[in-house]
Amino acid sequence: MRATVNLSVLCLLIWLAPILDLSAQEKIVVSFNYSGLSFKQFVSEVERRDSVRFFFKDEWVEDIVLGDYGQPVLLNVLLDSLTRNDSFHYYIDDRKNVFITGDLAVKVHDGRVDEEENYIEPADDLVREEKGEEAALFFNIGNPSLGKLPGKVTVSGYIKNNQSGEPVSGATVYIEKLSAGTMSNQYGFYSLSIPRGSHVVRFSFIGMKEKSVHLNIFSSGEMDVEMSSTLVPLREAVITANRSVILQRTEVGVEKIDMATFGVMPTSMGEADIIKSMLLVTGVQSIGEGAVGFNVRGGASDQNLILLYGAPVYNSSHFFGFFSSVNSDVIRDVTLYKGGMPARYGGRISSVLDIETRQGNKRQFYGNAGISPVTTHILLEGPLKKDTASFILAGRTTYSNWVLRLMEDEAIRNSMAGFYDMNAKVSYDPDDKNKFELSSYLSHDAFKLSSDTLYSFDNRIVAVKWQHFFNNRFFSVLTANNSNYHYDVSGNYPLEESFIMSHKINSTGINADFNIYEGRHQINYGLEMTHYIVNPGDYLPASDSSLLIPKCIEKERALEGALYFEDKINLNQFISLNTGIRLSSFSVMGGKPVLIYAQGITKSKYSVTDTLSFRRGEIMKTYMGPELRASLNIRTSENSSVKINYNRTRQYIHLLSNTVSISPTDTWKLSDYYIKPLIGDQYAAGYYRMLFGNRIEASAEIYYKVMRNAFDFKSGTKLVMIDNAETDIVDARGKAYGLELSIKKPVGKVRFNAGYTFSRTFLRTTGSFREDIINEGSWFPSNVDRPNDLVVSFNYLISRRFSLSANYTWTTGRPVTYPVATYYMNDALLLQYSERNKYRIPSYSRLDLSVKISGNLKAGKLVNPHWTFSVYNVLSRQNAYSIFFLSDKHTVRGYKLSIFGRAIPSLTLSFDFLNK
Amino acid sequence: MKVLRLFIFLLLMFLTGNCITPFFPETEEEMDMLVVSGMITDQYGINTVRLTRSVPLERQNIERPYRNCSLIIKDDLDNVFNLTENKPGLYETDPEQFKGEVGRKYKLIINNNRPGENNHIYESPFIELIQVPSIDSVYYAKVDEDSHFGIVNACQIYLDTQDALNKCRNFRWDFTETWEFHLPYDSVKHRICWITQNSQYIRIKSTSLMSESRIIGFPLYYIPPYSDRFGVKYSILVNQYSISSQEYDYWQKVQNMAENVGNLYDVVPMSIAGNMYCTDDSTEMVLGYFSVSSVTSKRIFIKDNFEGLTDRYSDCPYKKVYRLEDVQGLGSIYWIIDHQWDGPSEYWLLTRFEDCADCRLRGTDVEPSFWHEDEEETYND
Repeated sequence: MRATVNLSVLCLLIWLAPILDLSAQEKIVVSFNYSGLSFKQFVSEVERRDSVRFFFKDEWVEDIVLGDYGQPVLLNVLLDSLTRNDSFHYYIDDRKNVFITGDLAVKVHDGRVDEEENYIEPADDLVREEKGEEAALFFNIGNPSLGKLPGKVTVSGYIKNNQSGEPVSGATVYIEKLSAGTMSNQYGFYSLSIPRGSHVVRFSFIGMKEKSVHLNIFSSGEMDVEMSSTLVPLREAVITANRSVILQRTEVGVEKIDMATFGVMPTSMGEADIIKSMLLVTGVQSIGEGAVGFNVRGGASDQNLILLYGAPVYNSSHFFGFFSSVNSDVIRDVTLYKGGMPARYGGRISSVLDIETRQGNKRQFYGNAGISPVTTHILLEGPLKKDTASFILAGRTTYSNWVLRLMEDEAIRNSMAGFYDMNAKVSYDPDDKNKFELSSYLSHDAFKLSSDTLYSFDNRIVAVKWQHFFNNRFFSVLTANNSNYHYDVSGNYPLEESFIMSHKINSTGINADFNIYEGRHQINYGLEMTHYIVNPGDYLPASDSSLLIPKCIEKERALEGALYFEDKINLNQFISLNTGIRLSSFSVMGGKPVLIYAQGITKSKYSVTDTLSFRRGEIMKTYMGPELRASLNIRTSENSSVKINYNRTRQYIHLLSNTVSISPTDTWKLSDYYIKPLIGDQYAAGYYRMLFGNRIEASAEIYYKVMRNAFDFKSGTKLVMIDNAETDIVDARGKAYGLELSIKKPVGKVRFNAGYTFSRTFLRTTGSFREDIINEGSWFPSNVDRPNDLVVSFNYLISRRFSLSANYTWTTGRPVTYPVATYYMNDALLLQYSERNKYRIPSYSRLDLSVKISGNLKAGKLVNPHWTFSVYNVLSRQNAYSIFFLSDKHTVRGYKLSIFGRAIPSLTLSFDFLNK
Repeated sequence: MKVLRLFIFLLLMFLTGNCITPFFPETEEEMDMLVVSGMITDQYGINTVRLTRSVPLERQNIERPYRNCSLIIKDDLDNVFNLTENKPGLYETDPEQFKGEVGRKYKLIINNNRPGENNHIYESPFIELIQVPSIDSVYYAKVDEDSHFGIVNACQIYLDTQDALNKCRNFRWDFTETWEFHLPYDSVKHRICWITQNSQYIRIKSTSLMSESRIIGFPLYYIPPYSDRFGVKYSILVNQYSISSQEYDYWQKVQNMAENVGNLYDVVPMSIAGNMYCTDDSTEMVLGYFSVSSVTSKRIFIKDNFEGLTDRYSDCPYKKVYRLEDVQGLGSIYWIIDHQWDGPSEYWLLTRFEDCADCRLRGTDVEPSFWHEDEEETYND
């Protein structure tokens, strides 16, 4: 007879178990031919033959088919063979009850722990993790005789993934009894200040098995911990991990998504996509499907700093925004700072999206390949030298060119559109004190209409990183990187006008970053220097018969520097304070002549009165200013906290874009003689609360932002080959405010994430001439103003192999300027528009569903397939992408364009291979 | 960018099965602005300024001429020329007295001195009249397009021009097309007519980024297949204007907006200011442009076989009648298009469409004076 037990009952049984002695258990011998039986068949056979009773959940064992482990065989030996599959654990008590415990490993102790007997030298001893010992470990630090001393002591150490050796960042380290906790930083380091004595320290992280350590601490010391990940994303820790992450962070508006979460998110067109996933975060919106980039709290898309390998990514999308340019395969986790930006980040006023990439597995080879309706991708990783050096290599490409060639329409057949991207990283840890990383990224997009104009875009990043540990509390990170983005547009019809137009931005940065963990303080300081070279535009004849005069706009050069210092202080166990300052400067170098314009009229090419020239390399203007960052976290109770935050950021580099979304030919522009740096101030506050035994996290945040030195553009300007951008821009100020409510259940079989945002964002022109004023100088909603935004996502992990997810989005339509009057000019019917952004396109709503099926998880299988079937826009709602107007000689007609006018199904297949 | 937009459009269609549905937003404003559409040239007789008011979007297809204003043109030697309102809202210079001179600068001054109005004065800046070169050639090419009925022909009209002095850098063109068409029925009274249409497109080109001011193969006008323009004979008269770079910027902005196909890569639509300013109230927006230009023209004729011409009159016959006296509503509901003898008996073919019986509903039966110019040329050879 078998029974399915309630999980809590099972847990209870396990916690009762320590009084029992494993060695005393009776030997159960299996002596029938079980090979090829399913686990359930095996169980009924064993139960029939012996007085054994099994307890398990069906879903834990449904994939298991027994192999031949010889016979007769002891039951525990046989089960041990099965437990090679990591997520399968068991416990046999002396009454011949066999508890299958799924992901939860059980450790049984021999009697009570005596402090003296368990005394361990305070050393760099790794906590050895042996199979099935994760539930309870004992660790002593210091001499018990010191236990009577007053004051707190600090325990610190590194958390590593035991399969890959990678650091686990963002893991929660928590002591329930004290309501004290912290999080590991991006290098896996944690530090916790606690009273002397015995504590149960819990280490938890999404996608990892939770680990508890019984710590007897009598003086400060180190404790390194290895956590084991649940390799297949659908597997999860059974015990609810303590999700107090949001309570621990000091900053307001920081969102971290790790790959395990990412893996269960719904996809569009079959691709897990980093930026699309970001849209599920409250306060993050996009202008529309297919819009490049994203908008954070009312900021423009160029106000987001996207960091890959610590270097800025200048074009974050492929295929006009339908795909992110960074392959999600190489991403370990991403952190979005939409509010409280740490002082080490700067340069963009809206947000920082820091993409932390994976290191290659240092212990075993692993691979993954997949195919979706648009792309194929492959990933390989493994050790170069076990535990010391590893590599990871990932590539992705489209086969759309091949599909286009199959189309009947000649115009489409002769077109091309495709992209590829590649990521590579080599990590080398020669010793405990040093870690090196060399990373590289490149992406390429090209498309062409049947006619003649070819567009291509390239991102290239190379970065090196050296992490040095002076000791366990003080380490430095030195990085150097180069990021290069350029596009080319070329045309060869008519021959007399054949051209190549190109734009390029190249930045080289170095960063020295130091971290000190000292008692209550976590200090981070450093220096950052970035050198920019921008080719605003080159316009060259493409053939000998071309009549074009070659035109190269003079390169722009500038040096951005920043010094920063930040201290995170735990004032007491309830209050922590994070204060930082970043002093940034931007020196514009000469080369390009500066035009002087007549006073009293708007700047234009017709009002130039004089020219200033500077020698190349001479500094012609320096902008400098402090950026204050401060946040305060007050733990109001064991499961709630209040945070307030202020930060200022300065932005010296801008994307010139007067289109609704970023267009592929928009160019980057450095602040110069006329264009001042953007300055953003954000005030934010939030309340966070864990509900229902910390399974559900709820938060409410409010913010108010002011943007100074913003700009908009004069009407109808084409922003290609712009000589002097100051003649095309109009000065503006911006403001934004909002309320973000979110409730999340990130664990368990049923997970959900619901967020509602109310936000507004406005601009106001500050110029005084007619051409420089929009809407008579009053506040108008910016293009990204979408007041109501509701996002609900829901996951149901039916079993280890099946999961369902659904995702619903509802958003107010974006603002739009409608034509309101017509007039004739030389027989052409022209339109006169309303005030800027006076109207809105209809609201947007969409439901997506997806099902993921993993191949059976039998141990030792070389190839493990995963299928994802998803339907985008299940309701086939024809959401307005845009409203546009076409006029012929006498009439103007309005139309609504819906891009995904129907449900879009897609099927994606991917394989894990070489996976021992 | 236009090409790019089109491409993205196609790609989106292909990838996502997108769809376009009519949509008319509700807007609630009464925009009422003065619109100036004026041009003076170096020719006699065609120097006019048209004043209208803008028309709310939901009341399309009406003209709102703006009457009873006083208009003058002033040159940089302080000469003043008056314009008189000959038709409602249409103000003209004296056709025999005034024409622009190359190298002179002109400005337009409008005094809104209508009774009951605010007496606002509107002015343009001084604009120099730049010499325009003559058009080298206007020519056409048949363009094959696939259809269910096989290959059909569209017609692409091209233009070549160059300024040997490289002085004229910004060009604008407009054109007037005229074609002859015949009703396919012998018994109608007005069978042969001519249609004349003005271009409604903005055609501009700048050579300021080129070493020579030479334009070759400018795609002036694309006539899609299934037109009836080429049934008998077709003619197009192209006017070439030399415009200032400011005016080029203006038209380019207008063009940017007009080509709005609703993409996210489109420029955010905005009102475009022309070169007329209200001197009394700087916030009052005046639409339109006052242009100063010299003009040259070229006319070509096309008599060629195009595949896939439409027969606009295939649906004309309604029924045969043998006794005309029985037909009610002749000349109001039914019209005769044919009169034949079927053996001994006489019959009439009726139509329900008046334009099948009278070509003057689409055009004029007055032959244009230039209609045989091309033939004369051959005689002259």
